[in-house]
Amino acid sequence: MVTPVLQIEDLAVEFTTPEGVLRAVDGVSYSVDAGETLAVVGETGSGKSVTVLAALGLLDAGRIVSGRVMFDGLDLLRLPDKKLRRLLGSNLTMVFQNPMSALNPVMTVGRQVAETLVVHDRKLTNKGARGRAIELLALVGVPQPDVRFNQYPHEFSGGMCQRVVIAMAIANNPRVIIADEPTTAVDVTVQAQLLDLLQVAREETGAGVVLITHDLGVVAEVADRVAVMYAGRVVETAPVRNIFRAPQHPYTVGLLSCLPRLDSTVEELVPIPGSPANLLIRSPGCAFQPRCGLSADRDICTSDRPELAAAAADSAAAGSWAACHFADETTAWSAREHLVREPS
Amino acid sequence: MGSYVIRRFLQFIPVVILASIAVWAIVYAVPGSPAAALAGENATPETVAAIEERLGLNRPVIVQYFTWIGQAIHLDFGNSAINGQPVMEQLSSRIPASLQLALFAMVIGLVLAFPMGVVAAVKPRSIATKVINLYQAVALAVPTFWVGILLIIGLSVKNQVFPAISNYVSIWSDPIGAIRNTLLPALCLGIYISGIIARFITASLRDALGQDYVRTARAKGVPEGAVISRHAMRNAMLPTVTIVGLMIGEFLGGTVVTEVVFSYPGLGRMIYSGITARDYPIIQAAVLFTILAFLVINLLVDVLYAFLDPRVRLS
Ligand SMILES: Nc1ncnc2c1ncn2[C@@H]1O[C@H](COP(=O)(O)OP(=O)(O)OP(=O)(O)O)[C@@H](O)[C@H]1O
Ligand SMILES: [Mg+2]
Repeated sequence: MVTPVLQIEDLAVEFTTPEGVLRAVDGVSYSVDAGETLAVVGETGSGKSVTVLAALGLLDAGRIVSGRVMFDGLDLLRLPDKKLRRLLGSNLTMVFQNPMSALNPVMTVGRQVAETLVVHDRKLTNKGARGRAIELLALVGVPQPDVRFNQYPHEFSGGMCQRVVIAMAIANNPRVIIADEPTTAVDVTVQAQLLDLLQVAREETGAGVVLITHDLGVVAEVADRVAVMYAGRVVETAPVRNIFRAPQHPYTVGLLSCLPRLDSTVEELVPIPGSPANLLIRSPGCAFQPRCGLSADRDICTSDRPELAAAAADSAAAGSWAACHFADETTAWSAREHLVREPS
Repeated sequence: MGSYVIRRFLQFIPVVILASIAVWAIVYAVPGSPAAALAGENATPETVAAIEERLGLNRPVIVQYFTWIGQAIHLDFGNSAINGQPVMEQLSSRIPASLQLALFAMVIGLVLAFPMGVVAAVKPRSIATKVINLYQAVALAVPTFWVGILLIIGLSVKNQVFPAISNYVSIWSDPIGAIRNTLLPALCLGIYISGIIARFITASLRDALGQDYVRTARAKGVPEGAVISRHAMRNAMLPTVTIVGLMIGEFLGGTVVTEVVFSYPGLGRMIYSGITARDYPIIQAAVLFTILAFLVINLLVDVLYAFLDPRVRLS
C-alpha cells in the first residue's frame, strides 16, 4: 500500500469579514500519493484555493482553526516558518492561476528561475544557476531559452509565463506539485500543452500532483482521483472513473449535468438550482441541502452533517467516499432525473 | 536611452520659453510700475524716469523680453536693482547652498522614512507601527518653522551645539563645519518629508506585498527578508522614486521658510528678500532657475523610473 506524500486532515480556515466570521474551509481532508494526480473540483468559492494556500502557509489573511497537513512525517501547520520555507519551492511547489501576475515584473524571467535554484542550494554559483535555469526553460518548451533568460515577464505571453512558472515548480525535483487552475487564464490553444507539460513533469519527478480545476474535461483526461468540494468541505472523493460512471453525491451529479457530453442526447445543460452556499451561515446539517434534489426535505439533511463514508464494496461505486446521508440512493435518483431531462 | 533623453530635452524648449515669458512678466505683475516701486513713495517723476531709463523699462515690451532672454541664455541676468551687483554672482553662490541643504534634508528624510515605512508595511498591527503613525502625523502637522525654532532654542541657544545662524559651508572644503551649519535646517526639512515619504513607502510596499508575485516568491522558498527586499521593495520603489524626485526638485528652488528661519543663504532666502525689496532681476533669475531645476529633476526621475521598471519603454 502506498502512503500518501501529502495528507491534509480536517483543515479549517476562517476569515473575519465585516459581515461576520466566514468559514471558507470547514474540515477538509484529502491526500495525494506519489506519482498520482488528484483533481480538486468544485464551484467558485468552495475553498479549493484557500485549502492549499493554508496548507503551505501562504495565506496572507485568515486564520487556521484546526487541522494537520502531513508531509514526510512533519505537520506543515506546526513547522516554524523558516523550516517550512525550506520545503517550499523544493519539496512542495505551486503553480498559480494567473501566470502574468505570478512573475515579478521588474526581474528577468531567467533570474526568477535561477533564484528558485539558488535559495535551495547555497553552493550553486551564479553561472551554474544560469545554466540550469536555461536548461529548465528549454525543458518546459520556452524557445531560445538563452535569449529569453534575459527578458522580462511582460515580453512573454500568458502561456509562456505559465511555462516559466512550471519550470520553477519542477526545478528542485518536487515531491508534491500543487497547480491551482493552471490553465484557466491562458489561451484555449495552449491549455492542452500546459496540461501535457504537467503530466510530463509528474512522470519525470514522480511527484504527487494536486490539480485544482473547474474543467471536468480536464479531470477526465489527467486525473487519477477526484475530490469534489462544496462550501468548504470535501463532499465526495473517488477514483476518476467512478466520478463519471457512478457519482455518489448529489452535488457531483449536478456538476456532471452541467458538463456538455458529446455522447449524450441531452441538449440542454442543467445548471444546479439555487445559489452557492452562504459561508457566513453555518447550518448544523448538510450545506448542499437547500439545493439538493435528492434530499426531498428529509429532516436528517437539515439536522445532521453527513461525514464522508465509503460506498459499498460490491457496488459500482466501490472506492468512492461521499458525504451524503442518502448516497446509496444517488444512482437511482440521478437515473430517474435523467429520464425527466430527456428532450420530449 | 540617449535618444530618449535628447527628445525629452527638446520637449523642454517650449516649456522653458513659456516659463521664461511668465518669469519675465513678473515685473509687470507688480501693481504700479516697477520703477516707481523701486524709487519709493516720495520719488519725483524724474527719479522714476531715470530708473526706467537705467533698467530699460521705457523700451517696447518685446524688445525688453528679447534683450532679457538673450542675456539670460548667456547666464547674464543683469544686475540687482538694489545693490547693482550682478545677479549671476549671487545666484551661483546660492545654488550650491540650496543644493547642499536639499541633499542633506533628503538623506535625513530617507534615512528616517525607510525603516518606518518598511516596518509599518510589514507589521501593520505592531506597537511600533502605532508609534510610527503618531510620528508621521506630528511630522506632517507641525509647521517646519516651529520645528526650526524649537531646534534653534534647544540646540543653539541653550546648548550652543549648533550655530543659530546657519552659514553655507561647503561639504567639500570643511565637512564638519558643513554638518554643523546645515544639519539643523536639514533636520527640520528632513523630519517633515520623512512623514510623507514613509507613508508612500508603507502604502506602496503594502500593495506590493499583496501581489501575486510575492506569493510566488514565498512559494519558491525565498526567505521572507529577501521576499521583502528583493521582490516587494523593488516594485514599491517605483512610486516612491517619483515623490522623492518631486521633493528634491522643490527643494532645489529653495525652501523659503526654513532658510529664513535659519538665515541660511540659499535660493529660498534670496527669493524672499528679492520679493520684499522688489528686486525683480533677482526674482526672475531665481524663479527661472527653479523651473529649470525642476524640469531636469523630472527628467532624471523618468530615466531612473525606466531603469527600475522594464515595462516602461524609452524608445
Ligand atoms: N482574504 C480573504 N478574506 C475574506 N474571505 C476570503 C479571503 N480569501 C478567500 N475568501 C473566501 O473564502 C472562500 C473560498 O475561497 P477560495 O479562493 O478558496 O475559492 P475557490 O474554490 O478557490 O474558488 P475559485 O474557483 O473561484 O478559485 C470564498 O468564499 C472567498 O470569498
Ligand atoms: Mg481558487
